Amino acid sequence: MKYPLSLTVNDENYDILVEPYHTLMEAIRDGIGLTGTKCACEDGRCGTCTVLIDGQLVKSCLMLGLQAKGKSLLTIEGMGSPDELHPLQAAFLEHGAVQCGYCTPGMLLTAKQLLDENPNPTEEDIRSAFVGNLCRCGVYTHATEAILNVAGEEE
Amino acid sequence: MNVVGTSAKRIDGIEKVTGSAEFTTDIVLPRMIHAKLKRSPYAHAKILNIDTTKAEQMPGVRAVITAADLPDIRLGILTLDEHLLAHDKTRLVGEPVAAVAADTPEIARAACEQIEVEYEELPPLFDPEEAIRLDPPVVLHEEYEEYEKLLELAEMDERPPNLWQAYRIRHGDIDAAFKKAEDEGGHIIENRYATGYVHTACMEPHGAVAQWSSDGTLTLWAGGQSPYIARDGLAKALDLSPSKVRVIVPFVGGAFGGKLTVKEGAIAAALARKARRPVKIILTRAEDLSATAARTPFIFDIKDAVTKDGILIGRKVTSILWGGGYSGEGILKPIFSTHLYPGSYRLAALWVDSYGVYTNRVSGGALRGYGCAESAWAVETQMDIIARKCDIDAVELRINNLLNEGERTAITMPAHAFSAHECLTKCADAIEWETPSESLEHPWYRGKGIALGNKYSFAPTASSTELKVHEDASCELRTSAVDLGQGAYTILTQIVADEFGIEIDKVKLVTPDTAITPFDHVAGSSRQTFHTGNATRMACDDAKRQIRELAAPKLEAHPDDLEVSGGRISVKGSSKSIEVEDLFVVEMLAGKRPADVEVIGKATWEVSASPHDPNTGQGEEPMAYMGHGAQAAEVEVNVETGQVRIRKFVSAIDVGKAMNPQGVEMQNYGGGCMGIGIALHEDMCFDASGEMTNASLMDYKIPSIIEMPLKEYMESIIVEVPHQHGPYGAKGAGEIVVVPTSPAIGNAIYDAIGVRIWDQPLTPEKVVKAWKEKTASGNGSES
Repeated sequence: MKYPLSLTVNDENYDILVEPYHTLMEAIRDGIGLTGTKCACEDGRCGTCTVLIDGQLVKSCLMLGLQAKGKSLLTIEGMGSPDELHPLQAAFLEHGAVQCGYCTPGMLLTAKQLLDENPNPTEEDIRSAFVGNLCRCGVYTHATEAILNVAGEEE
Repeated sequence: MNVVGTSAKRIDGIEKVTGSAEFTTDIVLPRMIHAKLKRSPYAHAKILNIDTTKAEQMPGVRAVITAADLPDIRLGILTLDEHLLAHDKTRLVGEPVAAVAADTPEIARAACEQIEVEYEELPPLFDPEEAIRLDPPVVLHEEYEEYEKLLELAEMDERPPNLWQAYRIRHGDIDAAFKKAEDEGGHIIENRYATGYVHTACMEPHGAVAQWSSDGTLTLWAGGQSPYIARDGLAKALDLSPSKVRVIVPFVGGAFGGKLTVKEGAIAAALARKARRPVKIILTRAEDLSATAARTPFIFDIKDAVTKDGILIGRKVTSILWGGGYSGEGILKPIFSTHLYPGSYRLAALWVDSYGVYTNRVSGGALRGYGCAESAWAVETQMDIIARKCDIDAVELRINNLLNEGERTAITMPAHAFSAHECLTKCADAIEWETPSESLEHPWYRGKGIALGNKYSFAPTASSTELKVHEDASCELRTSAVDLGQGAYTILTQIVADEFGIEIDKVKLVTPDTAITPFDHVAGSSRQTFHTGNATRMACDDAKRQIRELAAPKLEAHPDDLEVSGGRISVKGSSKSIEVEDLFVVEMLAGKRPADVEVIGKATWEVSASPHDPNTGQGEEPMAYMGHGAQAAEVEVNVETGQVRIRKFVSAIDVGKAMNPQGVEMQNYGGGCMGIGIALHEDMCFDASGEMTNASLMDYKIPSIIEMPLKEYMESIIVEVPHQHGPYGAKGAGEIVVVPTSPAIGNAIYDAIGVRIWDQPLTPEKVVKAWKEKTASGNGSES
């Protein structure tokens, strides 16, 4: 039996119905239809499904949808638009930190949360922040460059 | 306009960074239902009966299928040995035996549990050296002789019953080579190497969406490497005409060789036909890792004859590819792996016996490098050992053995655009090869290693493209080349922009859809820049020829005297010109329409090759081109914990012409990253029943950011030695970047602590064990 879930995603309110066993990732993708949040590992290792809830980093496959009742979420779709990219989105493109693109949304939200908390991270800070994000194409070095570049510009 | 050769931003980048890029997993169709597979829990068993009654009666279940619902057709790449759903026998844990489509994935999963399969367990066979015996304890395919086969194996008096591939190289006088080494104070160096069980582990799992139209046409959305291989495979599996199958490739979340065929897509299609609803199938991570094709291990026995001056004069290799239940996409690996035995080196005598065998493990497939990355492990470790034995610097020893431009390798490949020397020396310079690593405090030790590699790109092969010119002078490229992340769409767009002298945003790409885009062989074997790139240039030429012919009367000039660039057609050496737009505008009734013109350039680029004799490995030019690259690593080894850190990594690859230098750098770093994982820690583990025990990304460890060196210690070097047939001289970059990685790291570990580990991955346990054995024996020298 599905239960009602009201939440805010990217500043828009949604009232959806979700099964009690559905993860937040499933609620976002299937319930709301925002498919930028990806599923890859199902057990919290890879960070592909990362979203921000009230500014906190959450792997949305590790939380039930109903637990997000009344919360305010940011997903990749809310980070920037094609006409107005977030500086991190632009930097990821500029510095070659995007290959197949499947892990990219989770990487970008992780990077955003890092810079929100620590506007001037060292490379070691970035490495610590990204231990929970896997990328099989191996964009780690380029992602590091992109983030350091954005941090440098915002100083 | 010079767009080729610049680091143009990827044309699919905006969609990817904003989350709007649609992958197979994101596709939703009206009335779509979800499929799950019932898989075998046994590595080897007879299927006595399948009862689907209970599953079919569950609310929400729309279709259940078993082999009985499918045409009795065996599938495969070259040896057709596999049914879509297990027929009478199951030959590996996880083999699909039935499938369910239901309103939700949860109902489909629950229904799978209600399917009752009666098995008769058979003894499993896991050991490849048992499997290759003439009298093996178990035979997997009793009907092998009756299977349809599209390849010829090397002749043998009696075929071991589990053998599916046999290939030989017989080049030169091997006995004389070993005798010469013995008689003249040279060395004979013999070792056994093994590679590990590695999975592509793409971030996007395998999946597909299937839909039938009322006219009996199947449309399949699947993130595969080749829409045409997928189309033909679906047609064969479901006994359809290929013209009744349409394959559309959405964005692909990585492939690396693992998405050549679409088996699960064919099952979804069969379910969709039965349910009369669109069906989506997305494998779970556990299914993806444990039951889709893997890079299964090789065992290499290699024996080299070397003069006392370190010149390689003879090499003898016996190798076994540890295949799984079916030959699968690994079918050619025992052949392709032999390319590295001569590699870039002159070799007067080479004898190889290379085999592939069935065992009751996961089937062997492709993974970046297709056998070459595996054989490089053996060959390039040997080269390091030879150098130390002869007391010659490892870079110098390699250089002394290199071929020259124009020579042929021992497998008759012409050494053209031969850049091994340049790759090697640039790589050595970057890692400061002449300067030994600093000493650290016990238990940490530092060392450097280097390795060379090749990747041949297969032939025969072909790519076709179409190039439509619109009335606003923008160009539309229709291609079935697939961007798997490697940047193919961007490079092809750059080519069109260059050929037409227009801005990159005036080029639109129509991505793979077999109803629209023409044939392209596959996004594999590092072939798209080379082959699709050539086809794209040719289609541009064809379109420009048409434009010149249309413009000639208007400009009162001969077509040969016209040139097309930047949206204008001009008469050479004159100021006379018209806009491309002018060709199209004619008044027709009240409106405008394209004139009597529809400018569509078409081209096919083809490379033929004669197959090598499987008994000698000799023939004409066997492949499309030969890629070169060298990599070096500086490692830090902790002998107490066995931890190996990559401190510095250098990758120098020859791409002929860097179409997009940033793209090459991304391959250098990304390939290095994957190579580091394969060398040090990626390892599919199996229990005694043949089941994979670490089928999650938590337990099957692909590299994360912390396994990579700090960015100041990562170096990408681009070498450009143009290939005579490459577009702008270009060669591919996608695979060579993982070929030398493992031996470079292994050689660095030896340099640091003086131990060899022969079997990948080089885990902490093995490092500690090897160190303990060395210190116990007090012997650091190698034989």
